[in-house]
Amino acid sequence: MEWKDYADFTVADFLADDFFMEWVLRPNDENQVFWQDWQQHYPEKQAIITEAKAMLLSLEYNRHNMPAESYDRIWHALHDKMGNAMPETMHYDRSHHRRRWRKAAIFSGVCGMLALGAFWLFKQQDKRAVYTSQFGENRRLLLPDSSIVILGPHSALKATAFSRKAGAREVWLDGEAYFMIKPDPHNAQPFMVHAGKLDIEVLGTEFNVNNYNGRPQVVLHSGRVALRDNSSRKKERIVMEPGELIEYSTGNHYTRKKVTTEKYLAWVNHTLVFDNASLEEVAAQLQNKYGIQVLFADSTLPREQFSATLEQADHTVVLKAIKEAFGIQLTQQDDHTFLLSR
Amino acid sequence: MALRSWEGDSATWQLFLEGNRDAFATLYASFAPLLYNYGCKQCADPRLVEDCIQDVFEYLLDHRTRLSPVDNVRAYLLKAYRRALLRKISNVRKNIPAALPDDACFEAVISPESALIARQSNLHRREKVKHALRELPPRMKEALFLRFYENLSFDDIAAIMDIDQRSVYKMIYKAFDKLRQQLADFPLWTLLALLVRLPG
Repeated sequence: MEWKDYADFTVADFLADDFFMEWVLRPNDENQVFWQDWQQHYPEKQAIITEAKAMLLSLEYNRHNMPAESYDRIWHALHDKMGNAMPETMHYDRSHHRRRWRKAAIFSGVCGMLALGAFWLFKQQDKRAVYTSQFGENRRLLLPDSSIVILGPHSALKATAFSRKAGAREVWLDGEAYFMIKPDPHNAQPFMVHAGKLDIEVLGTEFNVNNYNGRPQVVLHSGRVALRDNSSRKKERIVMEPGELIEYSTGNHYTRKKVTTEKYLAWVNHTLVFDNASLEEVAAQLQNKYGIQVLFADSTLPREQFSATLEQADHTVVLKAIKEAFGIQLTQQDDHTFLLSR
Repeated sequence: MALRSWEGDSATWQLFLEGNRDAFATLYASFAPLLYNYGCKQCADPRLVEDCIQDVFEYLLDHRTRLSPVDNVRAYLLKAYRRALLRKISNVRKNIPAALPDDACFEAVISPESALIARQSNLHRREKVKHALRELPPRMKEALFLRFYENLSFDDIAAIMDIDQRSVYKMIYKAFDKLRQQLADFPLWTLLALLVRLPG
């Protein structure tokens, strides 16, 4: 992009220009540098630039939010239809039935028909859907039983087919998720969440599970859940009350405390809450959720305490807030690495 | 936060074409709310807006094997959705030719986030800006919306609105020109000039 290209631009020309719009609405290092230089070079254009910017920034549209009932209703209809429209190539964890298929192949020499039958059977049993989310992304999942799961950034949830025949509804979580589980009136299909070594038996309820670092943490918002550490010999069953947090550490120890649950659920609405968190803990969160590495130039920095509630936040918002709160330098080293220094 | 890139969308689209259900679920989760927002700006009847969302995604399921890869999934879906909605609207009002209703659609408002404007300008001024925006023809408002809210390129807007790229450019150009004329008689822009948020 040449400087002189913009010399004769009118306000309307600027408004129609992609690069100008990008700078006003989504500033970044590159466009920032260009437009600052340009303005210094053409001070007489200041009024035009200012007017074009003001017009762009004053335009805003009312957002119509889709009601959750409509979202779910349409998804239900589509989900039913999807069963017929996309039957064969579902994204399942296939490792099990591949192994079985190999066995079936040996049999097929003896009795082809039998093997085909077996394959069909295994396929029915081993339906495990896998949902994943990317760095920085929250995903809203609607499970086949109408339970809703908000999957946190960089997390994965595997689910069984939830068929009536299977009995139990079971999911496996890596990362973080908030569960709104539909109660089962006849209690015929208990809902189980497996998070690392922890089994969570759900009794119709809302709760958050964080399992990013191998130390599962459960916060119960409403209803009841029962926890069991499947790596422990005692297999003690702990029933949680609403408003409680239980965090497992390495070994068989856990801590239990009363908390304000909202703080732990805020991420669902893209709000990040830090309450006297050390910068080291903040850095670990950014690593888990956004794939961002934060380096500290000064050895005292990781222990600094940080408190903030940041709405619509991602890693850039968090890092900027830290930079301003402590009056320190923030340097971006590459796409995924930031350095904090005094 | 716009963390999702267009490349990511078209990769998801590709997975969907290959029959990945998770990819279809992702498309629905990403775009149903966006289509809803767009639909509500075109049409006051939420039932119609929702029916069309279902139609578009059912169309995708029915025609999956015949669909081709797309670069900008958002533009593609907005276009398909707009077509479905216009068809429904014209079915509902049999005697009226297929066109967007003229009343109150694509109403842009003064950004509530530019709190400085709210604080410092009086009600009369805000009303005047609102009024000026409302005076724009609906298609101009739609083009402005696609451009500045959905951040689409002139090419994509042209495809969505079924007009050529030059017309889109002209329309947006004219829209801003009209706004300026309407607001020329009072010093709004000098006021705004003081209030421009610093980038970054």
